[in-house]
Amino acid sequence: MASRRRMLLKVIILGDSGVGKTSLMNQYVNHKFSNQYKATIGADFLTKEVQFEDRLFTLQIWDTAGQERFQSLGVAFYRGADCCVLVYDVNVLKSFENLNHWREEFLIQASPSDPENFPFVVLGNKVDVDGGNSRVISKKKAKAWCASKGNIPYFETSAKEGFNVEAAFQCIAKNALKNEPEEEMYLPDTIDMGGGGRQQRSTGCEC
Amino acid sequence: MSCGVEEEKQWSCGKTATVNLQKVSSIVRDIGDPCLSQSPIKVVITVNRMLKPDKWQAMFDGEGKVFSFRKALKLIVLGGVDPSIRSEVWEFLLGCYALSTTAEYRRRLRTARREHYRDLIKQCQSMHSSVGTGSLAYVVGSKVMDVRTSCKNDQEKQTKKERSTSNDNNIVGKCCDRSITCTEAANVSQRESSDDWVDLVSLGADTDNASYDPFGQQNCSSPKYGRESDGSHYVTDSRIENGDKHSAQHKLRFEDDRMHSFHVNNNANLVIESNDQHPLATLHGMDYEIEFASPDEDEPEFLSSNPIYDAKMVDQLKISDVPQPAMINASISQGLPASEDRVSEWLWTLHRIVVDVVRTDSHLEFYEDTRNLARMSDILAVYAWVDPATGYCQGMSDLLSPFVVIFEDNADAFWCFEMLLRRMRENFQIEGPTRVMKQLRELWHILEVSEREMFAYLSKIGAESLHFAFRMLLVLFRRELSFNEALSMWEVCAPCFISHYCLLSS
Repeated sequence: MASRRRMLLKVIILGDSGVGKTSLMNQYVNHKFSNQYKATIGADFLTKEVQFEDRLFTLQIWDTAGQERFQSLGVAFYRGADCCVLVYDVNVLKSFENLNHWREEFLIQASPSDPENFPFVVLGNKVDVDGGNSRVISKKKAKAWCASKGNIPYFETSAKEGFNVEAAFQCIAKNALKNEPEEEMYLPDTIDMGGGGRQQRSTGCEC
Repeated sequence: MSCGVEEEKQWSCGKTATVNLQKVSSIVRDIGDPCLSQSPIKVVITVNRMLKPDKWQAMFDGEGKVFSFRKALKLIVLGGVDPSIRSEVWEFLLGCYALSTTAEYRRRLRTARREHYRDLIKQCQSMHSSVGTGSLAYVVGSKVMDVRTSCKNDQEKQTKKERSTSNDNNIVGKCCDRSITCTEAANVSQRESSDDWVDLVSLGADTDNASYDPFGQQNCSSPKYGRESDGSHYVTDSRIENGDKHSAQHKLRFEDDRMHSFHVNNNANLVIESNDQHPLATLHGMDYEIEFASPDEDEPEFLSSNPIYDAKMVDQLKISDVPQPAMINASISQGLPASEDRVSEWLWTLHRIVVDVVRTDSHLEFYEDTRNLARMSDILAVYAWVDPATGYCQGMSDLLSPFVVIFEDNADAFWCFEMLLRRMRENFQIEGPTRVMKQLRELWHILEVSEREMFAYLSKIGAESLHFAFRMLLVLFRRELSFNEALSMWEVCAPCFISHYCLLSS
């Protein structure tokens, strides 16, 4: 008799510094925006309970430092990720150009088992700035890039105004879930294989 | 007071300053309460022990030489520094002056360094007119173009060409761009040039180890690794050239080139004070003016005819550990023009600086004034210009902010910041935060010996990397503690910053 244990989904947010990674995470988890977020040093994470098809999941969202020089820490943080969110600022060309770098860096460092199909989601943030007049990357251009990388889902967001953030993270959670290998979907507390030959883990609580 | 199981987790630093360790301990609690239950660490700080103005003044002789810094240091370690004398004391703590210097000498040195800082501001201003004006270079959220792209492509081609001709000097010159697209050869060159500078500045107390090559040519590569590894360091200020382009006239002898250094051996009672005498400082000459090809500027008089400082001024600047070492990157001092690449890289860096400056300590009333944000931005911009191997990296603004608040003069703040970064810059370079990673490994060994229970617990949960402490060490608890608490923390740990890291000494 297998009981269902709440599953943990690990999500990593990557992108240049100042594109709004921390703000997106906080808007999604706490529904708050602040102008006073400091530059992230190392990494932080927040968790949020999400429901999907009558099941509860814990979304563990890792917010990372945007500066390239802290990437040596990446291995530790990227490991075990179920979905990777790539964020750029629609007003800063460089942050878009760097998406490729962040994607490749992730694939190298996290080395997922199936890199071709590993789920990414791209967010073009800060669409609210100057009423959209200062943006330098068009939606079309961003979508074209996403299409060229295996149809990565793309969202335009404003962490400041909460625009599209919920929808984006729902997609992120869904994709993270898809990535989870089938056999790990259900983690039984106890196993009774009935003479399966393999030695079983000790049963019961590990306390 | 105990940092143990009691509810009251406060580290009292006297009447005015109380370090609340709740934030720190809450982090630790997340890892596991039991670990702290039998902690033997007791921190007792009393207000009497704080370094007060009267006691500080009593430590100077008639000429203004400090004759009893050891006593002062003991008080600082035990109780911090009275805020009214903070700026003055911090300059000594950071090693800006040798203790043997007279008040008059220090006054002249200060004047000279302020002048020098003004020159640097001018240089930066010629590349971006906002620098030094009290306003920020960019409006955050504005459209920003990275002007580096074309330069970078050019550079790659250029570098490849140079590789084939093995023209090392040119590669160094071209390679101020810290972009990750630098070729392998270029990166090697960069590392070499920046290491030379790091090697010149090592810190510590062991006079025996302070071997000193009067001609300063070969000695530059050994101090960094050799001395740091055995925990003994010394302060020196030899300016050693990469090549032999500098004639003997650039090497001057300074009789009183003494640097104060000290060492705390995990015990405030074991403060060792010494004045290492380094009789010779190899001088760079004052040909440090940075020539660059600034596309839209026509200030030839500034670029090409920087006034030659008189020998006396040079003398003043070189005697103590003035910011010059940082100023003179090999690529600059070898007389090669700073390339357009370097300028465009710096301009992009300036953008990144502004992005972070506006979100550094933005809760402080002090930074509601944009001019103060601009001061922070200027200092970071100047630093990034003079030390391109480090440039700007996140976390540096957290370290700079206290100096901007404490010092009224930007040059003074810059100087102290630069002194601090001599110890910290290894965390902010392209290679990654190597110093912190090393410290985390050391911390792990310390835990193994001193906090067995915590060690066992962290081992069990697989937290050997101690990454949760990464930020604490990188920005010296600026994020875990409030602004004032962090300053007190810096003071009671000051000797650690100056000599060698000893986070857990109490």
